[in-house]
Amino acid sequence: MSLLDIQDLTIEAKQGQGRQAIVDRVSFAVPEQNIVALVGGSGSGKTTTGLAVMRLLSPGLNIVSGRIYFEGNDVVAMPEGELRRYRGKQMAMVFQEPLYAFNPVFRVGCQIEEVLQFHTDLTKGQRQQRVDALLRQVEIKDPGRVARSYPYQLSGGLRQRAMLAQAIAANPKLVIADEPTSNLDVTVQARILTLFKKLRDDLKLTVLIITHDLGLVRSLADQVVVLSSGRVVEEGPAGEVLQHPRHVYTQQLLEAAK
Amino acid sequence: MSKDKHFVPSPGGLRNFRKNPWAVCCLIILGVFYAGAFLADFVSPYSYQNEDRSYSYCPPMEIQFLDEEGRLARPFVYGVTISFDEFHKRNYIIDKAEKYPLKFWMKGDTYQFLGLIPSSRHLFGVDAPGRLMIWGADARGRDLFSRIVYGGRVSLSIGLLGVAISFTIGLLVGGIAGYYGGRIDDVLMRICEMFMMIPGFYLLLALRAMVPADFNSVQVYFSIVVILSFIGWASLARIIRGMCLSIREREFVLAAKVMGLSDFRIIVRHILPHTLSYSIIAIMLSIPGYILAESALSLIGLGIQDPYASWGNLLSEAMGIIQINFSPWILLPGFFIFLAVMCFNVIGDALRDCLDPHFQVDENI
Amino acid sequence: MMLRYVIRRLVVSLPLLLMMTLLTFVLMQKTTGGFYDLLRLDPQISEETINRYIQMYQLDKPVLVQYKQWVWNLLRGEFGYSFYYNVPVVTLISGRMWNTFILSFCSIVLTWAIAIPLGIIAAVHHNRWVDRVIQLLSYVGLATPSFFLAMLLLFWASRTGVLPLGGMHSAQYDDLSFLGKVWDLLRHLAIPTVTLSVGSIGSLQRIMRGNMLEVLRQQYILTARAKGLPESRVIYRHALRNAINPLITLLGYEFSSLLSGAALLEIICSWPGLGALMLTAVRSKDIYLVMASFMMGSILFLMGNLLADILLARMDPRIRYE
Repeated sequence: MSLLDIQDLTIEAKQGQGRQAIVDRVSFAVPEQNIVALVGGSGSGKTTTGLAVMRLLSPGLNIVSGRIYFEGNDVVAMPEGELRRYRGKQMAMVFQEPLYAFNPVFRVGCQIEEVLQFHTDLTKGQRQQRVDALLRQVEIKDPGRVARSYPYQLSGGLRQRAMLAQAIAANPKLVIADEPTSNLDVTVQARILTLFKKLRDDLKLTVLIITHDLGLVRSLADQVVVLSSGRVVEEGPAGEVLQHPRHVYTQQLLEAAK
Repeated sequence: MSKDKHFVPSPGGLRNFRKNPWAVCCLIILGVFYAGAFLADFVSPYSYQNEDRSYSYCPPMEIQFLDEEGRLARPFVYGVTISFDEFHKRNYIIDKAEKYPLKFWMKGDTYQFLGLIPSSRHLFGVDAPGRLMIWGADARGRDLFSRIVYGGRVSLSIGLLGVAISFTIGLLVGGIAGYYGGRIDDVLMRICEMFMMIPGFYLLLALRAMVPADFNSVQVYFSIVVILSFIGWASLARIIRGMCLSIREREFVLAAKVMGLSDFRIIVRHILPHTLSYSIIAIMLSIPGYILAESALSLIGLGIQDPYASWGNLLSEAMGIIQINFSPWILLPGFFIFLAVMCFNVIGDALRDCLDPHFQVDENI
Repeated sequence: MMLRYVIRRLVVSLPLLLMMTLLTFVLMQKTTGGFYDLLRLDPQISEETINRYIQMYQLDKPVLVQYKQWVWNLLRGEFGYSFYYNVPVVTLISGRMWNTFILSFCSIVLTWAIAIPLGIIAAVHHNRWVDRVIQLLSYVGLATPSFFLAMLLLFWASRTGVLPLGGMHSAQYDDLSFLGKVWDLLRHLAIPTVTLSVGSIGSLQRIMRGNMLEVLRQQYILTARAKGLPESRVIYRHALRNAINPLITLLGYEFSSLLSGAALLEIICSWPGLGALMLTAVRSKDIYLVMASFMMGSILFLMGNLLADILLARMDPRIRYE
């Protein structure tokens, strides 16, 4: 059973006089409790696809056709009010650069607590305890200090863990991660990847990882979907695609990753 | 929220200006104002001093195009007679028996065009004993239209002169600070900040207090120009300094240095010309401040004095509530100040949008 | 941490203040030959007072000594003597300062109460007709000379009788109840406050809109929406807090421009404030009064700036640690 089923998705951007397809008839499915990697170079449309799942596209981009089924419900047709109940609670997102993805003027703990405030019925005391527990779950050793800190005061690795804690706060079924380790040191990257796997197992998460880094795909993903210029050029189990790439583009990516 | 000032004008530049209908319209309006000011003696029916107390606070006279039978006729005005009601309040009654046709290129008050050529031709007017006051009269029966046209001379010119002086000082200080940087820059900028930090109007008043009481009107005029420049140079200097700081890193400056040109030459002949377009924008957006400052000073009686006219001191008559209530036309000079300020703002903004939308100009006073 | 920041800012402001006193004093000396002569020329002042002043201000000593003495006197609260009003300057200034402060304060409140929401609305409805109308109004508001607007409003008031035509209190002020007094004050404040605020509203609104537009483009706004927060929370908590920060510094500059603008409006609306006092002083060449008002204006401005800096540090944690 697919948690997420994208069918024939086409997204266009207004460019000057004409319109350009950023995402062109993309279809793929994300099975439950799988880690699916959406791979491609810059301009391939992978981030746009990821944002479309949560209907967070910027004003200039329009979903022209296609369906996005989340647990059988079509996200594309959903009214905004209903959508807001999905965001944060059923599906969450982790971004590339947590320094900019966190609000600089609020403390980290407060921002994580916000998710609980709007998606759960916990009291303030209970929320703070949960924030503590969440931070521990993402392997942060001093949750109190981190919760009281401002985003710029934390290291890159701590910030990304905190961002993960924020994403899993309301127990979502799906986590979309947009280049979660691209801005981190290599050593930290590996640890974050292990964390992803642990969370997937502990929390029964389904993860859609958007990345251009095939090394990451190798160590983490169950399934791979390769995008090029807005179209799906290859998909399949990770091991197979990486060992026996069929499309030229996939081969090029593999070459570049070596 | 970094404001990256690279001072590289966008391509297309001034051509875009012509596409902006508001800006072109404002340019035309300003053109009319300045032309009117230059030809004030000719354009206005009367000299600014021409008074007739029997017409004190006379309401605006309508130019009639239809005669009593409703037929098209040569434009004329009716005569006006005064009567006093039981409260000794003046009432102006139109006397239809007296008709004064509008004449063009007529002889009127004598004047000296450009201070040299005597003439007495005026664009339009009526023969005596009629009086053509299309916008009404002030307390002394002086034609408001004429006074406004003459007033434009002072109000519009002080703006230009004041800006010219401020700009020159700003150019020097800003250029030196921006080019040399370091200590010199620090010191000069601290001085600038100090000037910018003092409440403008208070400084204006304080400096005005310093001007000797026995100055004649010309000397007062120039003192005001000097005072205005004294307040306004700091923000211009800051802008120019910013520009110089960024421009001096460019290749052609290094090339000039390598060629062995003196610092002064480099600043004047190579760096400053590149600041030209931005300088024009800064100037356009600063002029309103000067016009308003002079109007404010004259309004409270510390600027241009009677009998000379400036839009500001014309408005000072409107300070008394009674006058405004019964003679609202004396508020007209205010609309001209407003229009002039608007036009400069629109043109300045249009220029800025053409060249570099991120350019910031501090507002002073 | 906060205290150190405040002390640092104060220390930086002192040289500035010193330079202002020097400037003021130099201006004083340049006028009509100096106080010694002024005092002697005025027949109303008794010999005794003259001698007292010579002593107090060391008027018979060289300029530098006079300057030191003047600063020293300032610090002790001795502001000099008003020739026009025949009382020490201090009595005049304290009362008037309060009135100017009330006017400026009400203007700031009004400005922010209107400009911030307008800026937010304009940014949220970017480029739609609401935005365009607000932009046009701001533009016109910015260009309108405040003194002219005041006159127009007074004209309207005189025709309709809705608001009083100037001054601060009605004739029956003392007989009114407390609420009555407040209402009377508000009615008299109406025209000067509105006129004073119009330009500031226009300019602040534009800045707020610009800041909001820039903030709304940031990543953390996307995150906030991704968290499923209601749009009102995204805008009024996440976006607003970041957009407003830079505006806090403007408070100080607003205070300064208000002092300047208020002076002229006080005169037109007959509001008995510091600016009106200074004008009378200038007109009558009442030098000590002129300079004391000037100093007061400058000090108030510096204080406004310091306050703005403290507020900014409070709101944006990054500044404190620099």
